[in-house]
Amino acid sequence: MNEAAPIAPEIPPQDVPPGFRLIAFEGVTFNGMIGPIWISREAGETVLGFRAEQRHCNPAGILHGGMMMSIADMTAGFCTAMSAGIDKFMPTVNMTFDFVASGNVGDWIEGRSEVMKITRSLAFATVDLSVAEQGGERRRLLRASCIMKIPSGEGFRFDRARLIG
Amino acid sequence: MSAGPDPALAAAPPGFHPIRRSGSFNEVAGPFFYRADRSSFVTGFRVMAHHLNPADVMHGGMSVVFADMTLGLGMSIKCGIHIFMPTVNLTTDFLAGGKAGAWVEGDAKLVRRTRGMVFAETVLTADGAPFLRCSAVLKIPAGNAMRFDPHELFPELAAVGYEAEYPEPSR
Repeated sequence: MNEAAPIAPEIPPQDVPPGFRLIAFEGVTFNGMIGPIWISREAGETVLGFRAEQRHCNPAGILHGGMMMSIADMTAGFCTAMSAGIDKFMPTVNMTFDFVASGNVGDWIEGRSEVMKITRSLAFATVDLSVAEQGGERRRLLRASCIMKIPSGEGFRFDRARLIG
Repeated sequence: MSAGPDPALAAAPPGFHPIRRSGSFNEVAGPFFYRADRSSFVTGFRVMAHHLNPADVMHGGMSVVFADMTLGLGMSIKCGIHIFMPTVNLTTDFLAGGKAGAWVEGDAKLVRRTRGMVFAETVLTADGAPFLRCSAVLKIPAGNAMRFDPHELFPELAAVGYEAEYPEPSR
């Protein structure tokens, strides 16, 4: 973990399920500020994860919808790109969110993307955020439907974030 | 509780006041601002480095955080429903990419209000140009568990004599 020190010295140790690695974002970005955000790429599936903290909550003390949508947007971009073998950054064109349940401090929340269709210039995906429950059940918090643009040409490549651990 | 960056650095246009709600994700994502006069309530924020994605445009997550706050808080104030309304659905079209330094602004419009729900929409602007079209379905909770005092959170409302744009229809 020595190499993590210059990038994210302030990230406290977190209880993270096996298989997840920290995404280290370079410089000051929204992702780095709301994180730490973790990623797992096991059995061909890409999953984002984060531990809900007090600072991710709204004044009512439950997980803020904005935090859920931010992770859903990242899940749509990252996980869809990895599933579809796209190594370019895809700007979001449309995203529709349904809030089906609330999240709480301490929840380990995972984001998954199901690729619906990839065209030459667009990617369609369905994203869900959920919490693992006892007995292997998943409590679903948010469903999102997302359309992303696949940039023509080189676009912006994923080279400013790396994985740690 | 570590608050977000200093609101002073955001250089809000004249008439905007910081929105302060302690212990909220909005403080991490902000700073956010509002401007009110007798008949209007507008929210805004300055796109700063910590709002960008790795491609150096405004993060999609950040855009929808602000859309959610503009519609949720906007409807609370404009409808005079001084209770936290959870978002049930939010739909967003990303019309343009936000650049660092842009001033983003939102003015929520009521579409329909029922006993249990509020339907709202708006087009956010960045430096005056259409930026993000959004609509939301908000739930009006039963009970008073999450009530707030608007004059404590938004002291300027009383100072400018703000009157709710969409008051509860008389029955």
